[in-house]
Amino acid sequence: MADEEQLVARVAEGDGDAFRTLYERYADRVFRYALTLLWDRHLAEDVMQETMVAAWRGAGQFEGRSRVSTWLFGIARHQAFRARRSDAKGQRVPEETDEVPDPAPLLEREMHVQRAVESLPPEQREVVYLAFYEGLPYEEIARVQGVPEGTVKSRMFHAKRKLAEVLRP
Amino acid sequence: MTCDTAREMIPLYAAGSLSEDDGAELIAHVVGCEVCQGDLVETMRLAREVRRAFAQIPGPARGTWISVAARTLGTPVLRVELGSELAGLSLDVGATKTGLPIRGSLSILGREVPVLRI
Repeated sequence: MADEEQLVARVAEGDGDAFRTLYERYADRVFRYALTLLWDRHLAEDVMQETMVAAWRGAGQFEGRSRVSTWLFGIARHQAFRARRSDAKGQRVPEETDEVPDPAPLLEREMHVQRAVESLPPEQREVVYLAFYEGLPYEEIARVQGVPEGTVKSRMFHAKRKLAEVLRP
Repeated sequence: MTCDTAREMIPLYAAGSLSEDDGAELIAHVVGCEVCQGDLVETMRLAREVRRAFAQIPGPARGTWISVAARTLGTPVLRVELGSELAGLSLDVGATKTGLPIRGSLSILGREVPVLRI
């Protein structure tokens, strides 16, 4: 944790190497989180980029009260809502990109699980991602979502019940 | 511990984010409660499947670092890429206020792994 805080402190001082390290540690995770919120690869890439740029500019405001991942997920969440609003208004200009990697070959079961997760309401999907993939405790998830811990627990309860129904072996 | 408390803790146990003490308390309850035992087994299976499914999603497109670096650290001067989308090597030369940093990365299935920094 202290190491992560020092890293952000160096970013705040304009250290490019520290920023590259921060990017390498978190860009993929921020992208996957944004994808969980938006379920759109291009929007998720935009959100990841905007989040990392915002982290560079706002590193000085990080006070170390939460994990670095929680701080970045909070920025990404804000950016994702902005992206969703712009997309809904048709303001987004699709970027030319031919660099989308080939999807890794997915087994049928894994596709089924992805579809089940996709079918959850976004707030529940987010809780499932942050708890099961990121391993965040309820307290940190509540901080990211800006809701009481009880709401996170309730979202987890309903998400789990629905996933269990859909994903019976 | 009540079943309600156990039900709240089980997802965190399955995710590996529960403290050791809380985990021990939970297991002590689960051993004597068939309902929570079933919940724990099912939740651990779900957590494992969800983690695997998320891990299978390809990461962001190659080259996103260049866009971010251009907006933060400075202007990219040169990028050389070898290989294919599945696996390749890229070298980036940038221009910042302090010099011309060179960075090399190996990419495998869209994930970049840094291998060189000068």
